[in-house]
Amino acid sequence: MTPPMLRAPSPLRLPRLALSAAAFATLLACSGGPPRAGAGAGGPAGGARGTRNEPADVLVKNAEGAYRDGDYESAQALYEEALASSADDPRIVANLANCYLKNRLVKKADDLLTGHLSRFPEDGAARLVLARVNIRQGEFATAAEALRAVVKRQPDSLVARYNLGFVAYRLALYPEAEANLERTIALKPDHPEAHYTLGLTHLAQARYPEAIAELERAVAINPRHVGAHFNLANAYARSGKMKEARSEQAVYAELSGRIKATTEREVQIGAVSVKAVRYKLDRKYPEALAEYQSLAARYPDYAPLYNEIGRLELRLGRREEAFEALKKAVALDPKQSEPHYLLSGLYRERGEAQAAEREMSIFATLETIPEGKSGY
Amino acid sequence: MRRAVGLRAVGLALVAGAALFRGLPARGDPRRAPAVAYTDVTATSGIDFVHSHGGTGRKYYIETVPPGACWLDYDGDGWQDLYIVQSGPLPGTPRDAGSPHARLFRNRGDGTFADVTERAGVANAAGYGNGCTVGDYDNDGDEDLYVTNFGASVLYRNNGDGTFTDVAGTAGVRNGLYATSAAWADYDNDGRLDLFVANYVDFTMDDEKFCGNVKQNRRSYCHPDTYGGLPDALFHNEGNGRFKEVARASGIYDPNGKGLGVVWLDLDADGDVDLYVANDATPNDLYRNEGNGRFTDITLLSGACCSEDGKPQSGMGTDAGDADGDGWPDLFVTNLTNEVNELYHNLRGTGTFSIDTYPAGLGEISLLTSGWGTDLFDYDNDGDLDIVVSNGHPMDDIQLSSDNVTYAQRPFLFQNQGGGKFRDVGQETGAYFRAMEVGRGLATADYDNDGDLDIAFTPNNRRATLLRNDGGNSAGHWITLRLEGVKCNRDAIGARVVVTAGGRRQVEEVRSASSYLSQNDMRLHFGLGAAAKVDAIEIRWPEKPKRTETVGPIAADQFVTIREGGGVVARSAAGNPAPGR
Repeated sequence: MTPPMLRAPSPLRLPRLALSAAAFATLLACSGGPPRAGAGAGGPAGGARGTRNEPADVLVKNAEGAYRDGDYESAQALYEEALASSADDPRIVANLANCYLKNRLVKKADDLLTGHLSRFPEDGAARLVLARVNIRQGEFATAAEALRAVVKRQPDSLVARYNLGFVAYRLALYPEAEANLERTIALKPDHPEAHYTLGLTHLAQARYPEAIAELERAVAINPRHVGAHFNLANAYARSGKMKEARSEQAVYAELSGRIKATTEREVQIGAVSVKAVRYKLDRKYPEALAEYQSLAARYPDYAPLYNEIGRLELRLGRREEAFEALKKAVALDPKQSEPHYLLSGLYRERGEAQAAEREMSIFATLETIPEGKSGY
Repeated sequence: MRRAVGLRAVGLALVAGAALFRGLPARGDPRRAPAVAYTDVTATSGIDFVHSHGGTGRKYYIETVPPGACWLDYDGDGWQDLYIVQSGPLPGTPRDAGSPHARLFRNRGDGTFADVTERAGVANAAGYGNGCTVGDYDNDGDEDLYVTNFGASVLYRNNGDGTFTDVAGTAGVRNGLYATSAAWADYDNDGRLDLFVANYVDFTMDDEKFCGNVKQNRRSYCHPDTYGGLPDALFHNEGNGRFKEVARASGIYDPNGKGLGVVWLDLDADGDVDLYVANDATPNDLYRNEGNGRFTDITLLSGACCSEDGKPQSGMGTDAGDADGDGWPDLFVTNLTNEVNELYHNLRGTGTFSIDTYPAGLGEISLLTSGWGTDLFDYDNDGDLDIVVSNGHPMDDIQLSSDNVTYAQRPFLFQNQGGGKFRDVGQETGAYFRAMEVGRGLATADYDNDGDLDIAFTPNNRRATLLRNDGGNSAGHWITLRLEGVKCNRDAIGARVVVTAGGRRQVEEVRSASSYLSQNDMRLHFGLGAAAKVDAIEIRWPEKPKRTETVGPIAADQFVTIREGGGVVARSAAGNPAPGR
């Protein structure tokens, strides 16, 4: 019994800027597609999500909405409920496994997928998610096996090829890594991660000219690729090109410093946002809004606060205020994905289809799935 | 009262004899399966130390960090004593005579230890302790002790009569910040030990930051990103019992760094010590000593700052050693969950490193663990460096937010397989390596002077453990060297020693602290495998101008003291007090 083919689950190591519209489609495996008029943009405040005894397709739709809103716990609960009534539905299985990963329930994801694949060994999408689980568990050889199985059936699967290349590199299986990364590049020449990982593969074998060439391609495609700049500086230094090394070092330092500073600030502001979070949890949206507005007065250039304000304005049905707050959020930090998504919905409500499409396209480019904070 | 050691030595000799009788491969023969076991001797040793972080449930950040331990021969009797740092009660909490405090355990030489803290006066009773480091900073022939605290730190000067006096204030090394690891070295080769102190974050006890699950109102320990970093301190020894803080002036400056681990090493073999600092969630620092009292920050170009992707990791402990036998010291850094412990391979002293973690077999296995204390040491006396790592997550409730990560974790013992590869053999060597522990500090020493390296573990908020190495000394020959400086610093910290035996060259450096908050036995232990003698011992003393001295050949399986300019001045066989001071 072969389940219908799924849209592929989330790539294992998504490049932040390189996610094409096609790849975005893969992300929506868990989100269900375009914006809804529900709990996200423009929906009724506190829209119902988890009513019991709903048909599976309604549960799935709600789960997708919850996932899209970043409420992974609710998404998980809804998918679990849906799965209870639609056992072995491959789409639910893959999406639920993704939710487990988001909720750091790696073993649960493993159990779910392993059980499912014992019954549906042909389910390539589930196998891809399982490979991701294996990687999270530090089981690279097992991940490689899963990915090889997918590649065997789908030789042109970009996700499988890239990730097999990456895992093979990790396992020091350099010829296999090179073959798969080169195939990835043939399929998608502007895949910065494939060039980057291929550069690392050369670097590991002390092939400095080849490493430099691939890493240069990676930064040409994505000039903000921190890892590529970092390794390029090191590769230059190892091959005695100190001038180029210092130049790359400067780029890396600027990029990484900025990113690190942003992260630290995010954590520090997050720590003083507890009161606002509590209000939100208590559904005291006006109080939460006031708190975030107060924080925005203290940190006027911190985009995520305006995103929160926008979300709360939406909750309170104040679409114009939400619209302004979200526009400010993207103006301050165009790389914040969520305000683009919410703005897309608002533009659509306003009948501005082109703007809605633009925002959604930006969102698709930016969206990624972070998997837990470094070290924790 | 050396009966325990003596009996065990006899037992091992019988085993070795039986092996020979049966025609089994001789000691050090690679055909002979390693038969090293680590036996937990905590209960019988008298090391009854239980760490207290003093936590009350409010999850103060400082609770997750300590403690460390230091091996030192404080009374010069030839046996390694053990100092373990205590933390709780929390700062601001009243302390009394019954409050937990740091303890010094004197090695009786018979496998047992006596608590001499009170007489020695090293309880650090007012401090919330983190780590320690040992060095004879005043060159008077006895070991002094620096203890790092959250807040003012302590320098215990050894009075030479079994007692110590806190001179941190007059010496000018109180530091006053959140100090973690510290390490002595003579960075300007002027014959006096200087002191580096890693400072961590700007946490204060009145901090009201909430970290954890707001929804469930569950407070957890914060991530280090929640706090700002602090600059580290470098105290130059002025030679009159006083120190001068010169970090920034000398080029050691990372105001955002969150220092936890430190190791001095001569990465380019140019005769002066360079400095590596493991930072938590900020890039690690690598400073190259220019030989003129100044350092150059070569962190980023070196490639040893971060993960392979150029991301800062949660650097905890660190050590340096020649992991692949090419004669150059490599760097090893322990990191937390969802990162890996990194092995930075020294590219022949060029100031650049390759990251060999995964090819070495050290990557996947450490992905779900949080590493802290570590040492590159030769536990099986086969002539190459193995690696021990203590593990345990910083968050005591991590299981509530992750189903594949645990708070207590199994420690690792990686055996060097040759060819730059390692394999975790811990579970084959003893129950402690099969059990879950909240690891933090660790320090190695040949505390029973039997020719193999033992390990003290100091977990967080739990009982310390002493593991005795049984069988290392029959698995391979060995030699242990104590260097005594005359013109250079008395401990010869920074000396680089090349031992040639059986056609193999091994390089080690005399160090004070490394690992995490801890210090190993300062004597240099070399496993020699099948070589029953050392052909040559070449010592480059840490001084200006550089001076090299060669001694040997010399028989294996003994403790040897080499005095600068004087060759071998003392020696002793296994089971006896090593040549003292």
